Amino acid sequence: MNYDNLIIKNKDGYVSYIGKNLRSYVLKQNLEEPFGYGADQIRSGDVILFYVDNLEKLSRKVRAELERLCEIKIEEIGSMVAVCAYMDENTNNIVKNLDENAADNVETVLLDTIYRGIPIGIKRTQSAVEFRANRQYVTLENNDSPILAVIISGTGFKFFRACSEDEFTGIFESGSFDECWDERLLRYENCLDADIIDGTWIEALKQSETLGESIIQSRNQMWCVRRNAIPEEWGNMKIWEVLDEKTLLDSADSYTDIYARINEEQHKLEYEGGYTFGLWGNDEKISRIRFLLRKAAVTNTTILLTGESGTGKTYLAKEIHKGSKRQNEIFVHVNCAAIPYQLIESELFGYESGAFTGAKKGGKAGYFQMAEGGTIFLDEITELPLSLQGKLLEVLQNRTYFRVGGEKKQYANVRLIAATNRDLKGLVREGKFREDLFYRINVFPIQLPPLRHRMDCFYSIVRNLLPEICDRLEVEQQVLSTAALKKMEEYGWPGNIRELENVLEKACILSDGNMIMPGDLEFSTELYMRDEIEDCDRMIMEKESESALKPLKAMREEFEKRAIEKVLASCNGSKVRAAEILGIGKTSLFEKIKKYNICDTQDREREDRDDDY
Amino acid sequence: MMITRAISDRLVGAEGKIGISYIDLSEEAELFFGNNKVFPGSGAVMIMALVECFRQLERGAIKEEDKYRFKHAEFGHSEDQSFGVLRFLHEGAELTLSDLYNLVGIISDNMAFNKLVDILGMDNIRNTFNSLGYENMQLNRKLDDEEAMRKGVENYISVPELAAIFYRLYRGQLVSASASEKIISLLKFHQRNNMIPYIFQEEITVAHLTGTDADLIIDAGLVFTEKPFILVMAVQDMDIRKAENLMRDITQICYRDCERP
Repeated sequence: MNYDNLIIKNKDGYVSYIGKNLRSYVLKQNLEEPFGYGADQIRSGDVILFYVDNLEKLSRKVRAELERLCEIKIEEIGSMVAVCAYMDENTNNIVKNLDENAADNVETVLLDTIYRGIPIGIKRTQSAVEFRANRQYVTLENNDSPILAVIISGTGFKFFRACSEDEFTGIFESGSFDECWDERLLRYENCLDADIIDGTWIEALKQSETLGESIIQSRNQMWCVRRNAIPEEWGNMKIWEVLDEKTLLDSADSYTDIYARINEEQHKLEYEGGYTFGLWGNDEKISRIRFLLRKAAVTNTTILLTGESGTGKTYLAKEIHKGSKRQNEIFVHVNCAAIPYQLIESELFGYESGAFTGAKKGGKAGYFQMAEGGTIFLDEITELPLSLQGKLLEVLQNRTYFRVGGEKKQYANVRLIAATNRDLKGLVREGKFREDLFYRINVFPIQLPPLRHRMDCFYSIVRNLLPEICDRLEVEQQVLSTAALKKMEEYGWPGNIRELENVLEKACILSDGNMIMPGDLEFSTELYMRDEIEDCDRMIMEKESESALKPLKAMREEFEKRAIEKVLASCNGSKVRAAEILGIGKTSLFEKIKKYNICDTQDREREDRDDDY
Repeated sequence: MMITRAISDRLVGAEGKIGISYIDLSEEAELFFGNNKVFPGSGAVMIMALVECFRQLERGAIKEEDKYRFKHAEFGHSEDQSFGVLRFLHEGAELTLSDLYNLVGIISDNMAFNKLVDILGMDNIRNTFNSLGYENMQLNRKLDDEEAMRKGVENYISVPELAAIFYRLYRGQLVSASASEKIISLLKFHQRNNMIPYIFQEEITVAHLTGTDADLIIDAGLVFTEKPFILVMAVQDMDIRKAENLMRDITQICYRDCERP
């Protein structure tokens, strides 16, 4: 058993141990009193807080580093606190020499102010120093460490440690820092899992208590949470072992269930290291797309996603971002169709103060500025006015643009992902989309197949979506029954994954227990019938091609029979639901079933259940 | 968070001349921070012309609809960029008195201010401010008057006195209740909003006036939060971007102080 992969609760149900390998994934990120953080980089604009107890003891190397950061000569003796904005020339640093007369045994506020909009406080107690930013605080023991350092980003703390000299200078030499944890908090505080553990993991722990194990996805990684037997000498504790995907696959026997399950989760044969895209299925088309994405994501190339509405273009754009070098930077999703025509330029590129009537005081940052360093996803790019397409081309070619009403050239360091469900080439031919822009964004086109062409991996898609939907709705995790799955597989899904999400969301709400039953599934009648009409058209076309057209009555009856059969199958035999969908009375349906001699293979019990429903 | 500690801590290590006056209007508490009270006037001196303008309007000496025609020769030959739009209007453009004070209050138009000084009389402005008891608010020359500048003639503002002016405006005690209200209404539209108003959402209004020069930045105003406050800040000899960030933090500290239960 690897102790770094364990989660342990004591007999009272409090979390008393989380292994080193799991902490960055399992613990909530913005705890008021954080336990710690994983390794990370120090970035421009991060705010650094220091406390030095004895300046006299500082080595020349550390003193030089501090002076470089604080941009000021530091006193030779005494103690100090400092607040600096890393690599930011626009904010002055605060460097404060401390009053040595303050008694050591008294709690002393050393600093209490607002810096770059963040309320910051540093307080010294007898043997420790408390650092506070917004509502978060950490306490670092003074001991013999020459420097106590805290790093804060826009989202809160990201590092805190009583540093040795080498650790401190190492941060700024390498631009990165190792993980930091305060184990005392876990050891001595009675923490409820809901207070400190991320929601996905709480569910996984719960599920594994009843099922023995649970497979989840957290921060782009697959994990298997397994309830372990308790060694006798450990008393009444509860232990979970958490295995990452690779360990699990390496250790698993290929004929065990777990192998099959993880394999299924990871789209079979897909584990090759590196980032794996959340595209489900293993048919040739999807495998090819996955291969292309893996290659393209790590570069900065522009990617064009095409495919029917609802095929998951937005989801995939996010996945590309997560798999790219910019994964730690911002992802900005812009739906070009959702922005009023007159505002689209100012929304995309921002505007200067007073650029136009009604302009916000102080100007406004555009989406390109917001996405600086990260990825901008321009959804429905064909809705971009022709007049603005030139400006977008300029951004793509020269990485520069002007804000509305601005005279200063702005530089854009963004990766573009564009998407459309329309025929771009056709629009170019019609003169509705600039040809030069088309070639510029069509560097790496990827077409997503509609859901109805991906039935081989339908179950994987559902399994991936369900936990997210349950989390969003804040309902218990749901499982899909075989009958419900069958019903879903028979549906045409004209609305693609978006429609699937809606159907699942409704099913999660309607479901009484933890299992989604066929009766919980409600498809859009209108869409369903459209599918049937298409079937009818296809049938007529087939007949035409066969040059053996039947009389209208016969064709109508044939269509009617097929429609009833299909609807009955999709309702898992429930005549009540079928009559509802078909828009006819139950008696009329029975008559037609009899007339067309449609086999009644339904499960009697299920019929009764649906009647109750 | 104690306001005195918070502002003092934020100013630690800040180079240059700094003056900050803060009045908590609900508590009637006034505080001053920094190392300097009197600064070169820059655009902030325009408050003097605005006060005098509304004083003369009340007395009927001038009327809002009075018209004035402008010739480019009036604007001098300053090579420097000067704030405002008036000098870019066509030769012979005709503006009313209200146009002029709007240009001054809303965009700190230097040439509109100079014209207003001509109309109101520099001596009248000085006398009014002397009689009001503001010794360190000094209007000694028009803006961009290069000859006067060469001779070392300068305008000055005082940070605490500017705060006192805004206090009297808020209480409706400067010239008259109606004139005070009109000046405040005008200054709510002031368009250089990168300092005091920067941290606030649009629904919080700020009546303020700014002044900038190569090495100087001033923002003086009334913040209409639930518990309104007055804040006047002047920073000289500091990088302008650092000064702006400093002022935004100070504004936030004052806001939090006023909002405390």
